[in-house]
Amino acid sequence: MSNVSEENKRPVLRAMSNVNLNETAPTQFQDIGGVSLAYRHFGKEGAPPVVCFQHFTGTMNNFDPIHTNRLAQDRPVILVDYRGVGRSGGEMPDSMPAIAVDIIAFVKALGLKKIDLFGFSIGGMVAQQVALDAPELVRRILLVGTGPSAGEGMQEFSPEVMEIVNRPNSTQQERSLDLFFSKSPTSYAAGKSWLKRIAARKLDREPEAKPQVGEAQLVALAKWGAIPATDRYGDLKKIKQRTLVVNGKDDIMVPTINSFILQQHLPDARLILYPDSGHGSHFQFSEEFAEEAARFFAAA
Amino acid sequence: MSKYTHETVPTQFVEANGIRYAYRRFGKPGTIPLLLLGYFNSNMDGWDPEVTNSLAADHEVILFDNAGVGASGGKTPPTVAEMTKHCLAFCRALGLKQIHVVGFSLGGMIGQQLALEHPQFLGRLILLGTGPRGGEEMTFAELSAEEQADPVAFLLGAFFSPSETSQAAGREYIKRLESRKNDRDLPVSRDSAVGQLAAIREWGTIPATGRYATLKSITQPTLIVHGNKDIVVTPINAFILEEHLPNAQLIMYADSSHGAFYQHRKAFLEHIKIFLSDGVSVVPELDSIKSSVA
Repeated sequence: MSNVSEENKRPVLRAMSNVNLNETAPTQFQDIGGVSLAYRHFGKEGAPPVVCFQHFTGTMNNFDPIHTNRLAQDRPVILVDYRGVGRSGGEMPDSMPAIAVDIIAFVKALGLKKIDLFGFSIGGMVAQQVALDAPELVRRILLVGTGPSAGEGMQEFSPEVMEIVNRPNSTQQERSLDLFFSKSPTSYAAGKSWLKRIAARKLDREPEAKPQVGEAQLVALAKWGAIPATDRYGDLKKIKQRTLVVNGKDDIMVPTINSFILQQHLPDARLILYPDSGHGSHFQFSEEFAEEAARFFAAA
Repeated sequence: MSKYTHETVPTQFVEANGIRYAYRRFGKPGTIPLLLLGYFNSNMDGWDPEVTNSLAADHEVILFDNAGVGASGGKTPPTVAEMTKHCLAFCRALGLKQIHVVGFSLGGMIGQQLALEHPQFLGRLILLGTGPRGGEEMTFAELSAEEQADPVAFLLGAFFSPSETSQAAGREYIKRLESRKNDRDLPVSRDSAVGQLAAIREWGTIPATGRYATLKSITQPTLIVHGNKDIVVTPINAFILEEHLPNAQLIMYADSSHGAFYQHRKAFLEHIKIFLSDGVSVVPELDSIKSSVA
């Protein structure tokens, strides 16, 4: 990437390795019984596809092309919007199990037998729920900026986060910068680069999530965060798939300790925490993360 | 690349303040050396040759016995701070201008102390299976008679998890430790082990105030590597280090104990290579993506 002239000497290699599929893959629609989900499907066929789940009020537009294009070099990448999000039909469900029902139906409707999961934030909770409800479908799980059901400080967003979420006269981009990145100049600059990257796609962009999405997702988050009377993290030991857990050291949306809790309770998980970063550490350390994720999915 | 490997590099000695320190130095000349600082009750032969030889491909590697340990002279002091002074005296005697530290367990404590006292001298810090001063449950039991008598059983029990995969990795590690045939180090004496135990217990003592306050002064890029079931230094200590150090990345491996980086050495060697080559990711601007579109 750094040396364009060097790239130009090897046009064939360049074409194979760096095609920006995230930008050009058309949006498609899959009926899952009365409602259709918007999705994009691209990348090298042959390996298990990685199905990617988005963050709170986010759409497919927000996936980092550095991640998706890198993963697409090795395997099919499937981005999908939850029911009610973007151009997916219907209303956003208000619980993780209900979202997982949709996703499992979607995967089966596509005829897929084995998939990998990549979930960011609320998407990571969806990924855990899918693994719990359809373990036979799932090979590996990549969890970023997320936490277990009943995690620490996951009963509701902190006042700091709610202030940003409800900030009047702010755009989603401005809010994302404050929610996903640390206060350091480096982190903030990385955030702005991420915003540019996700704006690069011009072809059939998804409309921003309607207000009902945020409302329903807040209810889903509250249910997910509720602490049971017994066996607080008992479900995690049932997720036997190999898992990679990633976060920034100062996540204000899903406190970072939850990444540690996930790793301690999941039977086969690796944890990576990046310095000077928050919820969107994988956008900040975008290339390192993309390579890490590619290695994780590729490893025997 | 020097002609020597972990297996063939001769043990050398250098003298400082009347103490003769044993060391082995090999790898790629002209680089900032990696100084490897070992765990409690270990000498230079305790390092995994597969790890040291791999590190030596890109860096100069220095193994070293601190005062009173193995073939080194002097007496093992009962504090990490005094061990750090010996460590620095040794480095100065070799004329080193800057080092990166790879510190395992006790070695990681010395690495932190060195970073605090001599920030200019230390480039980067790699902390393996270690904890902060006054960390959680860092009380450290004495080795039992059985552990003393059967070091292989001790290593398999403390460095590897009970799973079949981890135990198998442990047996291979122990086999690799024997690959150096000649010029092996001297065993760690009882006196030295007593000094080291006192040092790690003193390090583990919870201070009355400002429990983790010094960590914010360690500004070097730091890589923390830990096993998710470390029974020697409990894993929460790695998380505490990560949260308090200003510029640290944490990697915690699955199904592993104190010797996680040996069990997961392939991933570890990749991770340490990335960390030592840049450490911080470059964030590419949109233009570079555009320009790469065919």
